[in-house]
Amino acid sequence: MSEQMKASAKSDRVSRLKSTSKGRFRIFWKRYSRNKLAMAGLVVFMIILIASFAAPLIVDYSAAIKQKISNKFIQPGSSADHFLGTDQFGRDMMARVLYGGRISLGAGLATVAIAFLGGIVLGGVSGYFGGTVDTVIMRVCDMLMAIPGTMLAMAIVAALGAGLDKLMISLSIVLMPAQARMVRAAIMNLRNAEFIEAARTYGTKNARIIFKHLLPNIMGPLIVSTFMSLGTVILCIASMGYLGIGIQAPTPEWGSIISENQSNIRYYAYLGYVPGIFIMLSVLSLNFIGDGLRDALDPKMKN
Amino acid sequence: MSEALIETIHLKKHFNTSAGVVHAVDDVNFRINAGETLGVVGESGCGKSTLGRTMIRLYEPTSGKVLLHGQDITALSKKEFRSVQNRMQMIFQDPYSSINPHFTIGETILDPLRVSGDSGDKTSRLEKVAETMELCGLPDRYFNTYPHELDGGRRQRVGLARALVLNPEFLICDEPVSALDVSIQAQILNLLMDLQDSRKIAYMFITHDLCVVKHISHAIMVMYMGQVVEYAPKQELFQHHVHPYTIGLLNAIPTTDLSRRGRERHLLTGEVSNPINPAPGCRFANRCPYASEKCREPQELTEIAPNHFVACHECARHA
Repeated sequence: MSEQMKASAKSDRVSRLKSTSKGRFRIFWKRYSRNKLAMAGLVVFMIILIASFAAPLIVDYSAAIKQKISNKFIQPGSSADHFLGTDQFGRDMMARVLYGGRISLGAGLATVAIAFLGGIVLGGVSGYFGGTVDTVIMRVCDMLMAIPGTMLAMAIVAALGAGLDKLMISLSIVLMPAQARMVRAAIMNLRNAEFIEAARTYGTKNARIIFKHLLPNIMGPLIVSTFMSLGTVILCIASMGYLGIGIQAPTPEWGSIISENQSNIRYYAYLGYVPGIFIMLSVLSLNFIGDGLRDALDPKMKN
Repeated sequence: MSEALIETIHLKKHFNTSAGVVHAVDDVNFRINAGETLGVVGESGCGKSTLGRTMIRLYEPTSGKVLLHGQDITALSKKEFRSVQNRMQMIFQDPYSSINPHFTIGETILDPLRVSGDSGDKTSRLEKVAETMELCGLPDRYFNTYPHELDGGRRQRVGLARALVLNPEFLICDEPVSALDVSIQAQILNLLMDLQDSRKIAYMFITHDLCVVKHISHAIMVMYMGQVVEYAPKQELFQHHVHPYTIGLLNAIPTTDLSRRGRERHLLTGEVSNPINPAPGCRFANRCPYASEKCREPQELTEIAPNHFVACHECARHA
């Protein structure tokens, strides 16, 4: 009788432990949604992203490409057909900005993601194992960092051939060394912490130590720096387009919209600030999202 | 004499550094019986933590053997070692850095079970966690809290629970109470002693706090620069310590006994010499008031009384 009672008390206890452990994602979302700035960033960024990728539903692609000189330099708001005005060739700015967002955001996010993953792998291996592996990886990173970013990207594109995919690869190679260094420094800092040693005493394998114990502890600052670099990448894609590698005219893309209009910005300022506002809003909102993610991932922040 | 649970034979751990070879642990022999506690004392940097870590192969020993129930665990392959690994666990000094800040308390204690993978399904694991938490005096409500929400003493209990959840026979305690304040120290020490009574766990208790060692140990081993200088049962060591280093160490314990005011004190002078490429012979010789030419020869651990060993030719001669 008392044995039975004991057993049932035990199972009660276990089910209580189970029920109180809420899903990780729910806890994470609760923490994230409490941060107003991060929520605003998420909303703004989602609006820009959805508008860009749903552009065919809003305006026709031909409006972004087809030149009609008679319509040139229409000020934003002065025409119902051209809500954000037109450029020097009479192309609709709204169409150009929205279609441009597909490339800028798409390619920008992809580039940053490749650099993020590559940086984690290289920096993680380098920082965790140390020794010769570390020396080799870090010297290669040093070599890449010694070459100015734009030059390096140009050289890689020249070697691989033109194309958006190649441009993304080359830009991520430019970003990767800095990312790898940051990951390496953070990993080295934690590698000898006692909780890592403790995990080894019960036989945790290297992969689990890296993914379960080390990476979650360095993710916060890493996410912030990654999102910060998105702005740089968008501008870099633009300057590549300006130099004639990567995105070719007349394909719209945020950076190239600014650069192709730069001679007229003096008289028609909206040509600069329409795409400029989109770049600024997406970079800013991503930074807020990054901050929010960092705080939500850190258990030390108050829930 | 009962059978030894764990035994080291000529255990050595040397570190190669750019300045030379650091002899962190040099030819250490001792045994611990099931359910007993060996206190390891010595000043900072004398190799006591390295000794503990080498015994459970957090560091691979340079040479020598570690026997667990007579089986040499240093000769096992990494894979074979996994099967005995869980029988030896460790608790750490700093309750703040020894727990992953991204794991909840429940996850921290669950993780060893997940990794070792031999505790059945989720329910039986949770049962085991609940049982261990209770054993270590951690209420259920801590299951979902994060380590930063707990104080040092409770965190140390979490570290203890993480080690105990695997049912080890041997626990290395690397200065587990030196980071805690005195009232909490007592709680943790009493918890450790209760656990020893109920589960017959053997401890190797590494510390520089002699009062703690006096409280908890059955035998005491005094280390100096990677070597054992004196090794004896607790009462014997506190009453008849003979090695000049042990004398200096025990004399440094502050007492509240006024009648002993003004007594003669044997203070250690000088500094620890360089542990890189040490010369053969007694490593304490350059601080020892009785040093003679013979101290330059290697010193053997000699039994001067039953189970009382000392590594000093002078002490052995007088005994």
